[in-house]
Amino acid sequence: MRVSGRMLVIALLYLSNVSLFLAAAQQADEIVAARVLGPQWKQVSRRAGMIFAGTLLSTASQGDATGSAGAVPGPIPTIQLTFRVDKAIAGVEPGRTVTILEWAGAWNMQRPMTQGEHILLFLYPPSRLGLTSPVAGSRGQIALDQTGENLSHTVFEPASGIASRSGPAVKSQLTATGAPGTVSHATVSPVSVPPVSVAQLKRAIRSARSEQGRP
Amino acid sequence: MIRQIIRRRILMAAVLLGCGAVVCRAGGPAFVAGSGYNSGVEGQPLIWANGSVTYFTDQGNLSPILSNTQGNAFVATAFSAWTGISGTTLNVSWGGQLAEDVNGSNIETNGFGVVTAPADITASATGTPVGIVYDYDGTVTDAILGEGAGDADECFVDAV
Repeated sequence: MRVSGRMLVIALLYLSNVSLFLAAAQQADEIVAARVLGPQWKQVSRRAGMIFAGTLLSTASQGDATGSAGAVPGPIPTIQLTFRVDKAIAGVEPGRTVTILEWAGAWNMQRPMTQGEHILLFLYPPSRLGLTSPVAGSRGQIALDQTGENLSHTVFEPASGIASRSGPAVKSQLTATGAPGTVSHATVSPVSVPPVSVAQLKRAIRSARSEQGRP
Repeated sequence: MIRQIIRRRILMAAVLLGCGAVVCRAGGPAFVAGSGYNSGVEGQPLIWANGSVTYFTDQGNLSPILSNTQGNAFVATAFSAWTGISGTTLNVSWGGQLAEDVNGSNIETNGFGVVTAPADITASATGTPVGIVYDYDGTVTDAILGEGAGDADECFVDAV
């Protein structure tokens, strides 16, 4: 009787240690997620329809800028992006190829991506027109290192928002001294961060989504 | 000993000033010309011709609580924050209204996978170089950025 009582105490101590360890690990993951994605990280995680770490395979422009005259609707230029899903977090399956269509205006506001680059993406569910983009602009687009396992040591600070929805949406047509073409970001602010793994973020994201009953 | 401390302090002050200079460095163009521009201009800043911007505003209301007129005043005030900076040579003027109330119903697909919008807010509309859309209910943002992007709690990051 005394032995089984002692065993029970030991088991309880063991369980409490394990739960304390798990709680500490979860808290650590959440701190990391907040540091990388900002204080609204839970909202970003829950808002996304697709979250994955992937490799950019190709980009293709669609819709020309020749437009139309008068009242006839004109095309909106879009970019077709194809990714290989390396690590699925939500809304996609690992190993699959995902092709998305993004409005070129949104694409130009983000940090440039190059073919072969590993990236962690939080994407809105596609609109009724099939368009999507990273959640919260550049905040939903995180560069990974060459292994695709960790965040890039240098994370580029996302562009800040300009105005609210109640504020205006501006169709900017910046003109250089030549014909319109693609634009490049002139300045981005690199911010050094300690190593963060995709696995850590994945745990935090899944935990945040499960709080709302989302897979 | 005192001399050493003073020397260290001077060195420290110099380092801090140096760091400050790096942190405080501002300005520079937001965008530079990339591929597709005329040869020879790649890498050059994108600028407004003659430093002059003419913008056009939506016919609809800005939001359920801000009318079209209030929206126009809001936009004018926003521009004046930039044009009012001393030394600025940028001129901004209101060119009038767009030809329509841009909303979710006139952002469509043409049936061949091409997304279309009213002609005067597309990239080819040189007559209305800056079109300002009042996304009354977020449906325009939803249509072009993805479902949920036009929600009120996303507004600070998704207005473009």
